Amino acid sequence: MIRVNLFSLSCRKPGPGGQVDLARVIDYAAELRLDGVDLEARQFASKEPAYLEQLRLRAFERGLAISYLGVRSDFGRAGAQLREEIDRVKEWIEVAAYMRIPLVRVIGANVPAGATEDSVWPRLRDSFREITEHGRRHAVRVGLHNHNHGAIPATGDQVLRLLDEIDDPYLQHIVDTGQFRGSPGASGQQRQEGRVAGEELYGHIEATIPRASVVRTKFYRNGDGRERWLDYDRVFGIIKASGFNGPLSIVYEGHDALDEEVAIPNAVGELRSLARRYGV
Amino acid sequence: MIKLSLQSLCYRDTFRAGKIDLYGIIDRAAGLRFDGIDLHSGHFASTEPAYLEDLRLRCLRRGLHVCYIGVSNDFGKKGADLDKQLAMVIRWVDVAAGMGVPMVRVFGAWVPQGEAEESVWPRLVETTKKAVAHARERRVALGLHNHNHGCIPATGAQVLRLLDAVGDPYYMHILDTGQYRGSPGASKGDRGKEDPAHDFYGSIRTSAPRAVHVRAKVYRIASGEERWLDYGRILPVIKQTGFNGWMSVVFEGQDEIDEETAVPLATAYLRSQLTRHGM
Repeated sequence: MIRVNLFSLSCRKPGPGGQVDLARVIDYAAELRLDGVDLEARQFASKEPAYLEQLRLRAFERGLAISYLGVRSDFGRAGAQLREEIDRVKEWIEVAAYMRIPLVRVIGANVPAGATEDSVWPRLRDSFREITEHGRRHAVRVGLHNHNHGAIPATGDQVLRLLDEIDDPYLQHIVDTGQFRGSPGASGQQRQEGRVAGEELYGHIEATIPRASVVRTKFYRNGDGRERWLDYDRVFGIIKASGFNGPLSIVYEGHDALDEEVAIPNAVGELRSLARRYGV
Repeated sequence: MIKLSLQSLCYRDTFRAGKIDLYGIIDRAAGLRFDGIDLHSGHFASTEPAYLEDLRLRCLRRGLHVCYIGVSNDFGKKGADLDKQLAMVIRWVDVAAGMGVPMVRVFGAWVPQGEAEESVWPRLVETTKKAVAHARERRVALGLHNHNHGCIPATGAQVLRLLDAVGDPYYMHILDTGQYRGSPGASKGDRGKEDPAHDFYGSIRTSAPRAVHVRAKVYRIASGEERWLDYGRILPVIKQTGFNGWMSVVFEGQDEIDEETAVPLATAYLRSQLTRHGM
């Protein structure tokens, strides 16, 4: 059955230490009776083994599987900066291996001003080859996350092209329902109230979901219990047709409009109810 | 929510007959839309790294979490035989660590004929401590499985006693709903009959708050409903603890119906019971 996880970046309220405390996010996911928790690299307090092991055990004891570790990356950079991006992803692959998290979420490339998508593609592909190879050495898979806002891959075709060019069992795909072209929520875009996802978005999701290990379900405006910018009824139709049996990862990004303590339980309620209705 | 896992021993007879292997069982679990799978050590074709990695990736590709590897140890043995049992557990802890599986299921001890339960305890505790020390070093939990059939721990109180005597954060509890003393599934020599002298539902109540995993036994499912265990009684007890982990479907009614028929029935039954109880 479809499991519902919480992505830690949905929680942005700092704890007593002034930072979001991942231990508290894990406890919160358990209180919501979620099935797993997915962790964002930037929210880790350290990479010390004792801290990592404490987080791993905390999730395990609460019945929560960690399906991926999210790392920011930009393989559109060049030279020494590109090397830094690659090395950072590699470091987090090693953290994931230590924590026995099977997948590291990686974003593609921003297209710098003056460059074209085609001119960036070779270094995007070569970077993914390199990190996937590193993943294999550590038995951790790399999860390619579609991402818009002038980044690639931002379409279903681009995701499939990159997966096929690398063609490696250690490179998987993480669908993000709000980050394909056509989504009103794609980062970097001017947000306008009342906009809804264009037809194009659902076509991209449909094209890539057969290759996905995880689906990140974005929430932007769900004050009345139903997400308004994206149509989850429609997304669940696509999930059902695809046979997908992995986790959904709740990613809340509507902090400018609604408190996370209201929005996250609303998102859980909507996904659970749709999963029941669609029998997935 | 509680997540359902398939224990590979549900296909015990099919496996023994050579009609399915572990790959096939993983595919069966995915076909039934399970959330996870428990792998019994006896079902592994080898412990070669390439094979283990292949199994791990197959589970991941199918959206299945591997909850634990089951090892059938007996820490009631003595001398060199006991050393062999410990070595076996240690070997499977290493396999689990390599595969990223968080837990290894272990038993306690069979009480040898002519020996009193009490005299077995010291070597059970001491050997378990040695196994747990290795498991801690490899960061793999050992999950203590309550087990009757002449074993200890066979009651809720005995499970708590052993957990506390070992007292280690890497020593956890796997609750088996059909294996407490008095259960119709575990009564010595009188299978199918609950022994009222032993309150096995009471044992479940006692150890459930310590459980990180539940094995839900199914013995008589031909009608579509389990007849030997009363899940209408068991699930509220588990719910009350706030348990939010994994529950395995463990079918052991091969003397009634075949596995191909039974496993989908058992799965549908447990899912419907979990929904009914809001778990």
